[in-house]
Amino acid sequence: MTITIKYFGRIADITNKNEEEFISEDTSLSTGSLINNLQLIYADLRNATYVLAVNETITKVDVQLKNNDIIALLPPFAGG
Amino acid sequence: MEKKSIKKSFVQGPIAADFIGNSIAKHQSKTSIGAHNIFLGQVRADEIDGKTVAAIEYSAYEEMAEHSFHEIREAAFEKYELTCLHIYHSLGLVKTGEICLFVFVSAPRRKVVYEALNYLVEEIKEKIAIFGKEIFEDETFTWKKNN
Repeated sequence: MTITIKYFGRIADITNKNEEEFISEDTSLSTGSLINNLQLIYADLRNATYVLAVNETITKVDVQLKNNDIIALLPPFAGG
Repeated sequence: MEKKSIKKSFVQGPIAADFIGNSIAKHQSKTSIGAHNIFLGQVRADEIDGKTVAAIEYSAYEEMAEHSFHEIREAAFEKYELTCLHIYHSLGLVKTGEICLFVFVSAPRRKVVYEALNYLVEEIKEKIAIFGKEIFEDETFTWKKNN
């Protein structure tokens, strides 16, 4: 399956990109295992503060991913 | 009714005083309104580790943020008896002293406009996926975080 991953703010500084596609053969991929994979690619993510949004909804638990899901790594908000 | 339409909240760059003045003027035809309340967020020249902030560059997860603005707006209409409300937030570079957030609530009577405005500003700070890069006078930067 293909997952789109979006990076914002300080997280985009770490990954050096705003968006990428993650292709996995694993049909039972969860947000937790996706993050583990990303931490192998971007070591500085381990120490970064962020929340995850799956299809624009913030989730604090491990969620099963589906093909074409959009995941966003959101650092602390700073509006206003 | 105005509250039913989906409105865009992001504007590019600072929010000009003219824009705010025009928004007020546009409400003169809505004569059921008896009270307006306005919040203006201004970029502050914070001093961090001996360096002074010169500007904030705002970015956002725009699709998600517009949905969140919509939800917050709907929740405010549920909670308070408002005639209308408007939210504008900057994207891109806003220098210190310039306006980055404009929240405008209107109601027949005054009491609810204080409560509604406070509710909206707190919700915006907490729930909208907006990110701020605080740029110092020497062009280095740090990422802003709401308390």
